[in-house]
Amino acid sequence: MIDVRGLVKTFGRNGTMIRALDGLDLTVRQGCFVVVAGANGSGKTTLLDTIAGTVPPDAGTVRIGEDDVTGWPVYRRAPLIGRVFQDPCLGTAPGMTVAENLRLAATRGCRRSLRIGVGAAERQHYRDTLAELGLALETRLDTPVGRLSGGQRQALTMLMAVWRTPRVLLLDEHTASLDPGSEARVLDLTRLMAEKRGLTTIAVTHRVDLALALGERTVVLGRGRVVADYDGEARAAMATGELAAKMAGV
Amino acid sequence: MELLIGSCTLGLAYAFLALGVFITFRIFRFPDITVDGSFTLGAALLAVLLPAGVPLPLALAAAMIAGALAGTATGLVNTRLGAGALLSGILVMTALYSVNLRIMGPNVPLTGPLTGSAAPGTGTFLLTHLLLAAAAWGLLTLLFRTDLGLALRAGGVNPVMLSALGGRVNVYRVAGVALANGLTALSGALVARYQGFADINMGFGMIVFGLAAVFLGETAAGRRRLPVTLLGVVFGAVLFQALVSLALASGVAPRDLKLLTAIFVLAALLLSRMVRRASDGTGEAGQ
Repeated sequence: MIDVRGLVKTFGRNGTMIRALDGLDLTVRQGCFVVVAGANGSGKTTLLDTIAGTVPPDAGTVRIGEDDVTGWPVYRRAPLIGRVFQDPCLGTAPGMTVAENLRLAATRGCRRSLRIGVGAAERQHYRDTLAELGLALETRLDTPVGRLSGGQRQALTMLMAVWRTPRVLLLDEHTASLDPGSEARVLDLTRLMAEKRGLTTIAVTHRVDLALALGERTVVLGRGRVVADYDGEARAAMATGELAAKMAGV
Repeated sequence: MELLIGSCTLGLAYAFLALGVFITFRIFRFPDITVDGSFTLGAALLAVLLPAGVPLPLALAAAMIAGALAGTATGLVNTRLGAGALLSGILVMTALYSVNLRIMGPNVPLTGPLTGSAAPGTGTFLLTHLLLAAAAWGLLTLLFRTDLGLALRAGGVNPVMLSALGGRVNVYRVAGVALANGLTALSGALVARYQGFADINMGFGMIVFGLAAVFLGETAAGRRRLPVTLLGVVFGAVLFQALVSLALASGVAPRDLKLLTAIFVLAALLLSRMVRRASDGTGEAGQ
């Protein structure tokens, strides 16, 4: 479960103050997949950043399960949170191999020791897991990630984010820079992972179609606040045009 | 032949410096010029510890630890005080000038057991440096295959990712800069031991030497895996020293050596870029 209360965040840009989050409240129950939609500048990414700990809020609290993580640094939150960024380059180490990247994910939140990272057992485990997912990566364990396509790389990032099942999965417009084919594959993987592992998931997007197609609840942000919240039948009956109008503040 | 053996011996001593520069510049993306000070620090410590009767292995270890402490200082100035990488290195390097003067004065010839006429022959030096370089290569290769090593590498390439995976990026950066400067100080100590003296200015321009070795080594190794690149960097140090020795032997005045060094580095950089463009790889350097 994620519970954010009264989140406020103000940025100063070129002498003007911009309030990205303005007392935002949002609760996501355990195992629920929520899509947070909004126009550019509505506070979507700042919301994810405050949950992940990369941006400290000016006011408000962030709770994950029973833990108030508001003051926790990013590395301390890492065991609880898996995150996939918009840019596939941000989620992986390009010069390191697929196997080495997976090993980094497998030790997320653990103390890194002088144990050899990728041994025979790890390689077999990675190969089997990748083969099950049909990503065509099981034969490329020794390939530097920088040589993968954007879609493969983002799929790998997705897998890395959930390798050690987190309590919360944060998806930051994670298909925005992919071609349609790659996007479809990454979205399939997203659904599979979120459902199979029962992850509490927040995905942000500015795309109306994705806001209604992904997950089971759609929250609309505007000027740093929740302006609409749809689930169940209300969401199922929602037309994309209606949601677009809501996102545009009409 | 003598020129070749001398170049190999000295080049292998400089290989530790080159490995240190590779770690900071390529793995951590941290342009660290502390090495100009920590190189002399290692030499200075060896030059005062050997005559005081400290056994050579202990003197080398002391030099390495002192270099690591200097690197730690640079890392902490960068991560704790928020100074940029270059400024952090400049500050610590400047401070080390005074520290080195305090330790040994402007220069000091090596005295004591196994120095002067009792010093070992060139062959012994060559073998010792070769074994030490092989050990350093082996240990670094192993280190970068461990979980800690993978995190160190990832922290340099993509700190955002490592942080999201629970890595303490700043801690790793300090550790990496410390390791690099420890290797650099060891290099200074070995060079002082081989040359039979330490001088306050002997570290001047060492960063350029290290970079040249890295560029040459990467070019020689191509886009291969990290162990091969590390080996290439060792080879680059030997090759660069051979070029310098050859230039001196062919009549280049010692006062022109730094100019020549800069030209060599530029040539190595251009060569490295040409090879990179010609290759079809997209992987990061040093990975």
